Amino acid sequence: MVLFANGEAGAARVLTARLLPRALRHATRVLGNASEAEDVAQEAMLRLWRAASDWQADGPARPATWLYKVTANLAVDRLRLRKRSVPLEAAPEPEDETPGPAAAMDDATRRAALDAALQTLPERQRQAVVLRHLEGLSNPDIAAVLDISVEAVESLTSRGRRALAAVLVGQKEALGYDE
Amino acid sequence: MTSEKDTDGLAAFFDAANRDAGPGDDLMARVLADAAAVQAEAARAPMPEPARPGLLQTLGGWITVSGLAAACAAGVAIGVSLPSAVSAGFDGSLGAILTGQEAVGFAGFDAVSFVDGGVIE
Repeated sequence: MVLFANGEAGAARVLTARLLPRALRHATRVLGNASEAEDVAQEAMLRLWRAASDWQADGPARPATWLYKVTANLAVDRLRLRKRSVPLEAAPEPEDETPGPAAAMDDATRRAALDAALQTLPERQRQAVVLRHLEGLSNPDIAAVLDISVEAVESLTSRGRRALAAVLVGQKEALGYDE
Repeated sequence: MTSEKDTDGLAAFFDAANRDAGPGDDLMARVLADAAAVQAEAARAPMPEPARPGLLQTLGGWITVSGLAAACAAGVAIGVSLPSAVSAGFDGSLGAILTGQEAVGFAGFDAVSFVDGGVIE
């Protein structure tokens, strides 16, 4: 971050490669809309660039955690602007999948099912589940991102995971999940 | 990416989500363009202006000004003291009044100009 703030051109590329995928994954799973997720991820990165010059040596120890927090807040803003009944534009219809490797089709179908199930969760549960089980953040880190207690995170992730399982387990066989 | 025991069968869904394609080239390009714009803006930010030579430098620096200040104070002190003390002490002892200061710079100055607060050029 210091190198970026000092004008190093290569620093932006390294930071983008490292951080943009996280912001995009997080936004995609929370919003269930690829286009909106890209907008949110781009905006989050822009705020990172602008904040970098103020950080220098006094910035947050982990910019990734800061970025997740910004992404979470931007996603919440987006969610408040639209109805919950908006169909998932990022979820392809399984029967419309073009011929391709079987594994890729299964992955796409599972992602679509997961996205649909995530959208049934309350926003806080969804954020917590995405950050815990998809982004791999620790509970203390999630608490910092969502500005809640660690106990609240544990409650949200466990309830969210149970709710997801209730929605998805019944669809396992139909989705080709045969582990 | 969950490290918990997968007793509910969700691991396959999470793994599939994590195998999702990352940001496309278009998004990467937009983000990098934003970064370049922010860096360019920061580079164009006006630098703090160097301090202009102020009255301090014009007067010859702190040593001269502090001596001037002491001389002014001395002049005030002389002015409020008995006139005889002024005339008797001016020529040689003005330097003694400027304790701790280099008096040579003031030797040629007219005491009246100090008392009057004349401008030193």
